[in-house]
Amino acid sequence: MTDQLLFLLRLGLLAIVYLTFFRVLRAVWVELRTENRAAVPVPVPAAMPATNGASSHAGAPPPAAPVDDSDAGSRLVVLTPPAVAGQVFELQAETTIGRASDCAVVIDDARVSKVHARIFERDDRWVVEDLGSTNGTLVNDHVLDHPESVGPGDRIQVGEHVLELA
Amino acid sequence: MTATESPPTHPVSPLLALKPRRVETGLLVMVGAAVAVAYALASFGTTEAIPANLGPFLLWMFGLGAVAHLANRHFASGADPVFLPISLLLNGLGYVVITRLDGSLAALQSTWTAIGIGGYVATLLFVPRVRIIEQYRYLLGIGGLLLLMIPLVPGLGTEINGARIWASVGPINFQPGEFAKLTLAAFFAGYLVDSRELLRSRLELRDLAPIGVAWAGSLGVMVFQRDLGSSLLFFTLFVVVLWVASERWVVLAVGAVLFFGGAFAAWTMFDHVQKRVDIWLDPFADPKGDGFQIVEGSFALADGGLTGTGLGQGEPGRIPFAETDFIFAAIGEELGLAGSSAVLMAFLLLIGSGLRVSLRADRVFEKLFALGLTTLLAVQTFVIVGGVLRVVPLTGITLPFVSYGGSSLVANYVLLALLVRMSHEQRVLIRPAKGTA
Repeated sequence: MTDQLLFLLRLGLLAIVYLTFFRVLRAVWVELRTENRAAVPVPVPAAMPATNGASSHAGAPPPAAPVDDSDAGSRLVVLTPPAVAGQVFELQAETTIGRASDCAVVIDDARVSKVHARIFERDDRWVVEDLGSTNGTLVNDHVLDHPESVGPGDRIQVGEHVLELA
Repeated sequence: MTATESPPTHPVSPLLALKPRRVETGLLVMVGAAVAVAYALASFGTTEAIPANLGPFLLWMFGLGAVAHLANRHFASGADPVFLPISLLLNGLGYVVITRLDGSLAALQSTWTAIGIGGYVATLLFVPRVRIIEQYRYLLGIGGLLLLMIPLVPGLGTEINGARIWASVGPINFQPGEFAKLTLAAFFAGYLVDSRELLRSRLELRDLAPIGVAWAGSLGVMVFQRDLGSSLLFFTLFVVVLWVASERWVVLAVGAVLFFGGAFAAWTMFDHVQKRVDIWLDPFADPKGDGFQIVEGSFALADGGLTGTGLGQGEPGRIPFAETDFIFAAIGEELGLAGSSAVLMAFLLLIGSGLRVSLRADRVFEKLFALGLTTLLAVQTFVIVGGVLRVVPLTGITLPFVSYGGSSLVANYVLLALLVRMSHEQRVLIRPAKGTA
């Protein structure tokens, strides 16, 4: 009797363990699926900055984020220093800012790290992240210690250069 | 950015930041139930009584799990929920089997588990961003080499069971090599970030010099410490990370040639290597002597059958070093194929999660570091389980989280915390910039 009980308990133990694995796999599956769904609308506004986005967002919730309104807020305009002021960069799905020549926005300034910061799109918003730069990144005059979302009018400063999202 | 925004426009925080921890809570409850049942079963199997200390044991176990879980909620709220529960499951199952094999180890192993969880929480606390580790890559590399050499220092190092991998400070014995694994993984990743562009653009003979150095170093570990397992582990770690960093297959080919060359040289030069290979090829040549451990391990696995003899009802105590090197055979005997496969699956899930962290990383250092840490777990599991199952010659090394052993447990919890930290960092927690709202 006890032997049979122990056997059943042992099967129960194995069942719990395998059930745990099943839940783990399900969690991973759900996560990957959500990620893929979230990833679908991302490239659309970045790839086609000129369209109004309405047609390409058939199934998505009504766009409220600044990126989708029009092409407003999808450009970086250099404000200072005067030598390069007025230069405009179109934002890509990911725009890197830094001193290195393969950055999307190359800034010739000794206080700017090789790959200093990046602006990328996440859930219909632009997000600025400092990439571990030596001298830091300022957003609207406060130090960026954490990726932050930005919209039109926000100012990003790296070294002596101030870029405005327009 | 007005107050009227509906949830879909701000989907990140509830979905990605909170849900992983809720999933983790659910998984932890299941793992807790499994370990509690296993503990009760093991005790009932040996003494035919419900264990008297079941209450304190459960309290201790759930307490440690809760501490780690709360640390995740606080310091790594976005991390993958798979890491902690699976590791605790392996740790818990290992603990049950260890105490069942040798009751005197119970207190020690539970203390080490507590220290391990402490190390886990401390790592999450003191490493807010893994990229800060990159700055100390050379320091960590030198530190790793020094750690490896500690056991060779007369007076500090101790030789136990033929391997000189122990250091003794007062009453405490530990294996510095377990921590050297971690610092060397950080060093390899950091070093290869620096030289990656060069390696990718062209590959000349002298660019392969670092593999040569790693190879010589591994051979050194093997010759001076007589520790085949670690030697294999370090070499594989370096070749895999270098392969991914350079994106060149030739690295794997050169690595394989060097490995087999080194293995052959070691085989011709060292008696103890020759003996290992002979035992591997034919353990039944001397079943009561040299082959005893492997033979008993095979018998144990065979005895286990599909669902095992039952916890506490087998005789895994016959196998020498059943609580460290041969714990996989002990689990196979008492929980059968189903139980030992579960252990392998747990490692598979853990390694899969680790590789996902590496795949998702958008900075090279994190990518290579996560890969290195995962490789350590994977190779270590393969080497010891393969040794027990006679897939490869046996080299004494611990089964991560499962085997008895303090250094290994603590080092693996630190390793886990680093993966959890990187996993958390990959979730961008978006908050509106000040001044725009």
